[in-house]
Amino acid sequence: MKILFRQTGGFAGLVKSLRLDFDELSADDRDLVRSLLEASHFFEIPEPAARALPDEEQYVITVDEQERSRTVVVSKSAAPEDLRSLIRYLAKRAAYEKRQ
Amino acid sequence: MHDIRHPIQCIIPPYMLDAMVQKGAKKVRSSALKAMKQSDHLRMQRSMMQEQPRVDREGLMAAVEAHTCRLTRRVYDARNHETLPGYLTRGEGDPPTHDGAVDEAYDGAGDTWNLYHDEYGRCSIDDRGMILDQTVHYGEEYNNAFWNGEQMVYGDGDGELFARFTTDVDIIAHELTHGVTQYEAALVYWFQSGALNESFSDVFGALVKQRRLGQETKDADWLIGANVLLGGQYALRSMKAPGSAYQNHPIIGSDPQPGTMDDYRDLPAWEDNGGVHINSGIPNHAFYLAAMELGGFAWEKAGLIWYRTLCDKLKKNTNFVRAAKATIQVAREEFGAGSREEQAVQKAWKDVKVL
Repeated sequence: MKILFRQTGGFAGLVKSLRLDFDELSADDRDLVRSLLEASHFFEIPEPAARALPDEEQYVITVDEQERSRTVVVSKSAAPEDLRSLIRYLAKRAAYEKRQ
Repeated sequence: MHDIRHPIQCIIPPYMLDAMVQKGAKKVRSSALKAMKQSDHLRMQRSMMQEQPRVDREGLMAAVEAHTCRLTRRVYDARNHETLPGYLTRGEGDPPTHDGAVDEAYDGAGDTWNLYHDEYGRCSIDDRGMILDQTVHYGEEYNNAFWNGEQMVYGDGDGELFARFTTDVDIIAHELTHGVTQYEAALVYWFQSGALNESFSDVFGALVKQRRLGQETKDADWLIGANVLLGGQYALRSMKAPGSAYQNHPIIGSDPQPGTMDDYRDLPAWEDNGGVHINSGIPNHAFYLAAMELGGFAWEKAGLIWYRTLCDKLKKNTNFVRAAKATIQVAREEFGAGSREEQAVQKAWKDVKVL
């Protein structure tokens, strides 16, 4: 399983991104990601509103499993409650992209 | 000459003016008397109202609020959670708290309110005396500030890349201006209308900073976020030279903003709402060029033209070309056809290749 995360927007207009390969995580991190993903109901939640409030962050999250894949585009305030813990975790691990 | 709105002349019914003359404070009484003397139409209305006395209490309260137009600020502390508004920490007239973020938000909102009120006759965000609510210490090491449709919100920054987001007054004015835009042109926050929304916020952010410092156009740095991005030689955006605010930064690289349409970035909706924080560099630079051409205090001419455009001329899906033409039309209306002001605004938009 892979998770791709991209954060854009915000006052500074910077980009943060992360690529999580499940096989490369420690056992503890695998358990944590799995529990966050299950709690988020990622494959079941209805398509949330993508457009952000002024200076709010916008996220693109893709979860790629063997049998299924889904991409969700969502702004911080429009994120369903269930999804917020997963977003917080991914945003914390993501790194700023260095633009040339 | 420009027509600054005087709410007392257009909102308050005559019987309310009577009450203000009789019972109001000195300043209120003199304004009410002036308004009554100035308008035959008002006197006619007054006689009509005397024939049909009806009291609309909500209307009265709104009218009083609109006229007195008091600056009212409330600063809340989220205590590093994400629940809004948080705990009320400083209300209007309260002494400084010695919490830097609280006091910066309080002072910055005051300076912004004063620019809009003193220079353009605007009564707060909604032009109806809205209380300025702000929350500081939002989230943990939160690297952002935003307007949530009702209030301003500021993070503390992570202390490595960013300082707290109240550290620059232009950021506070930027967020408050998103509220003004919401109540005026309501520019849709994506693609070119979103970049214009961002640009108006940067423009009035820069003007509040320049007015606080008493700077003329030639003395200003035209930077947005000069302190919040740590490291001394960096800022977040440059209206003078978009694309130069930070260069070769060890973490975030170089400022990607374009200054002309030659470098316009055509981005998808899911990327920064179509590049609203990127392409705003183009209208930002147009404002800078117009203001520099006109000289003096930027809020007096260029700022006035941009303000009147935001309030009276733009539709929510306005693109760069329509916004450019609208500013030229306002310059003509305010300062005359063929005026130096009209020419400066037209030249600015041509220089950034929008026209």
